[in-house]
Amino acid sequence: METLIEELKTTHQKTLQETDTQLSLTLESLESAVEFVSAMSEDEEMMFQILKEWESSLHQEKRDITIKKSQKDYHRVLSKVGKHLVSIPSNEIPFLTSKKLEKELMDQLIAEHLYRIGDFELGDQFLKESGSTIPEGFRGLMVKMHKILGQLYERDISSALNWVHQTLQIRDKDSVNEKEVKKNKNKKESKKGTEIKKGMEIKKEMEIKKEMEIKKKEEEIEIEIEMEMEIEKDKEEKEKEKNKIGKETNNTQQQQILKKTHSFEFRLHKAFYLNLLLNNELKEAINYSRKWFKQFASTHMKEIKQLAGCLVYSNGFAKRRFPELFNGSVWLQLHSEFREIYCLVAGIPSHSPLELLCQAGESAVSVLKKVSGLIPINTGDELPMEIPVDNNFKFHSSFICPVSKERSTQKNPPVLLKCGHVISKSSMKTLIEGGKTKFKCPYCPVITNSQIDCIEIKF
Amino acid sequence: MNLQKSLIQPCFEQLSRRLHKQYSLLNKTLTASFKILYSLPKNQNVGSDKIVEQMKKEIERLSKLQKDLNNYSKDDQLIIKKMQLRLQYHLSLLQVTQKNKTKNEEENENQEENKQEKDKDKEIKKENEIKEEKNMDKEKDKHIEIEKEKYMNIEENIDKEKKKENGNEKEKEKEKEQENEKDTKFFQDQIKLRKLELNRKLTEYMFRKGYNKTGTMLTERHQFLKQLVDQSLFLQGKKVSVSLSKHNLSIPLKWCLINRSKLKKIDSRFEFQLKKQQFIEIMRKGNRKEAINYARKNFPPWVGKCFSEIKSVMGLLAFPTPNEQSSIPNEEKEPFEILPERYQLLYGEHSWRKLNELFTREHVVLFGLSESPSIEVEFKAGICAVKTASCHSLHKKNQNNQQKITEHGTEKGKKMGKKKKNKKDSVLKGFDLFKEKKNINTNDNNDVVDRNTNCPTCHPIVNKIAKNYPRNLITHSLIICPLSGQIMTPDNPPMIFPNGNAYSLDEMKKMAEQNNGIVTDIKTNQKFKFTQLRKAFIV
Repeated sequence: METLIEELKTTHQKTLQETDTQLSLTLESLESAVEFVSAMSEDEEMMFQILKEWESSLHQEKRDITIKKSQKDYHRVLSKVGKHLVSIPSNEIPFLTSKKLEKELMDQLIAEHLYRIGDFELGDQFLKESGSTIPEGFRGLMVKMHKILGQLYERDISSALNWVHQTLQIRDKDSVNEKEVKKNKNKKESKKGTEIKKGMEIKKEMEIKKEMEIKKKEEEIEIEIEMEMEIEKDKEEKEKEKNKIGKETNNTQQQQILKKTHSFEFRLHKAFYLNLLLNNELKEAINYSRKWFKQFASTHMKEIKQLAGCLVYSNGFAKRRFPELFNGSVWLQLHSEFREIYCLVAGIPSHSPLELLCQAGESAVSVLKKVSGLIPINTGDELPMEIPVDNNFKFHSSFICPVSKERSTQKNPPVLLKCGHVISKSSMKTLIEGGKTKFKCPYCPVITNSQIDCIEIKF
Repeated sequence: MNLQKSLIQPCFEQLSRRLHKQYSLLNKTLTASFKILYSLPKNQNVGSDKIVEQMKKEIERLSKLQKDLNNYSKDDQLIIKKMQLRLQYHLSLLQVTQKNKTKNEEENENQEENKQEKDKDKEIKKENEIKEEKNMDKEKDKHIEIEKEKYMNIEENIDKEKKKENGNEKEKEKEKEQENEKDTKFFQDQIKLRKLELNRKLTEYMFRKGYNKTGTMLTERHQFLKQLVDQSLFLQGKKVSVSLSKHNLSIPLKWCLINRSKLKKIDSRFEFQLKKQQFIEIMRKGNRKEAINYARKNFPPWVGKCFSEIKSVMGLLAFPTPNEQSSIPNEEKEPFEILPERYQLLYGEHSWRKLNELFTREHVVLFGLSESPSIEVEFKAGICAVKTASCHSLHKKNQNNQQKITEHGTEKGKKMGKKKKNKKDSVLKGFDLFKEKKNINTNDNNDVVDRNTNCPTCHPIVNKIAKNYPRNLITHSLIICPLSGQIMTPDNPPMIFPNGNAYSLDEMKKMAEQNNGIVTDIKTNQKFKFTQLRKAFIV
């Protein structure tokens, strides 16, 4: 393609030059003829002779035909380019064409993306023109984030520190509240349990009476009632699970947030301290470190030691000893870390989902195109082939049993064997078939006891 | 390769149209003027003054032609430059994606070696670390460069404005040369290229949907965007679509005439749809004769392809038009309502909307672009690549719980009624069986709730879109530590608690060091000893 376009360029220039020269030559000859004719205006015979000669020379030179030829050359090359373009297959992937309700959603996503970049003017204009809206509060969140980021670019950590302290306070309060809420929940559950027990007792009395009367019906009713009890137990279990999972995720998130904000705060102080060192304000650096580094002694001792060591060097030797601390990379890390933490605390993704998915889609498009031509792709559950994807785009755990190649679910969880290998529960059941309790791991000859040694794993 | 088509074909189409115009102009003037010139010596009776006059006229004409052609070809040259720039851009994008592919392949190979040989593992690890550090440094340098260049760009813009005010041609030429060099350097910088590509797609989306102000704002903010996006194409298309929304068919019909040969290549029926609409408009006024004549003239060439549609439209003749009164006396309904639905639709706004949609699609396909904006296509392809089953589990789990409860209430009684033999055994067995049956009844959507706020498909808006698209097939296990967010590898395997939860070895080591060998399960706040944890080997 490159060569074609180069050729196009050169032929275009050639034709341009050709036509230009030919036209100018004709014009010259015309003008000279005009001069002659006007000079010979009296003698008509001479005039016509000159004209005839001039006309025959024009015929011989055939300037108009050469012009047309050169234009046709250019046309030929251009049509070559056109044919090449037509031979490239079209871009369409049938099952990815747009559907009705997607327009508004796409507009919302794009607006979010524009706000994340920090271009609020553009985002507002876009929302005006498209007429869509985004969830409240998102814009405000992004405005705050960019304010703090702007200050960080100028190496000012005050607003970032404020934000950190605020979030830590809120999280502390939350954790206190959660403990109270947990206590209340336990009380409620115990109350429910007693109520259900009473109900069960009453029902049992009824059952006994009925049993005395009719035997066949008794059995059925018993079974029904027992099933109802079990339904209620099930309900309780599910609610507990919901609460558990909600608690679990909340717990892990809280822990993560606390840890990360803690270390982020440390890095803020570290960056400021290094700045002070850069400017040779040693006393102030020491005072600053005394004020702020105590709380991080348990978690970040190594780094503090290194930072303290920098004091020993004077007049720029610290830069040579620890180049990575003084070259500005500390601040760059801060920027990206701040983004991540801010978004984690707010509960939104740290990168624009539009950007991430478009990046992932770049390589996916070609694969999908190839396959959609061969196999019809259902928009149902799963693709028939795997799109190779970078590890950056993997956010969820998934376990594939090496024996059955099935994905594990809550109902078919992975199971840890004695030897440390992991297979899915269904494959384990097939190995136990026939009422066995012990079986060999498919990978190593270690024998596992299915009832004692196995643990179901929750990834 | 596909991007190449959508980038370059619009330029090509532009060039070919210009060539046609240019050539016809040239042809006309050349033949006309040379005719006159050749005929001059033959008119012997004409006076010399008149001959001189004619010759001067031809001089004027030919010099005008020369000027016009020169101006034309300057613009042509700009378009060819644009083509070259776009091709360069496309090739550099390809390089970037290929580099990433080779990187991934190298990484995969390294991982396989690690599995096979243990001693070499550590060496390779060290090398990788050094490589990663180098890459990190490079990326950091790039970040620093980006910051610097932000300020630099502002200065450059000020300089450019000053130069424009001066307006010397030589300086402009020099600038262009410098810019060309800068182009190549710019296109070699990965991060900038990626950003530019995203912005290009965004601007294309804006112009396609008609958000022209935001589109122009975007082009002003980023270099090269004006040359990479075909703003004029979409603006041209807007004219036609505006006239369609005003129910005016003259401009679209002209457009069809101009592009007839190309529309044929795509096998489009847009022209027929326009004529059908014209027929409907004539019928709306009530002129049946005129309508029949129009149909006789215009429909026959389309009989081969669109016969069924022609039939249905001609059916309108049988019914009263919206303005006519019904011929049936004492009819309470309005004449329009007697028509069956599909005919009412023909008269309504719906058909105009369809026309508009059809036009926007065909107009874009003519120039080699894809029907839907490229950002949408890539975005959805990304969804297919990134989406996992656990992205939807939060929402679907609640639904399934409700279903379960209702299913329990209705179905259990029937099934259990049949099993009467041994009360306890049957009950327990039946319950187990019923549980297993639940597996068959319910979908695979009872997945582990694995929340990750960073996952783009779990974002509520994306989730709604993603429901309609399939998820990626996963062939290898991938476990992520809930604490550190890192992918667990054979060197950092999952450690399994007695209650079933799993965390990475590194995190557990850290925790154990800080807490005298005791590790807490964060999800349940239970405490265990580090020695109670069991290593899991994921194949």
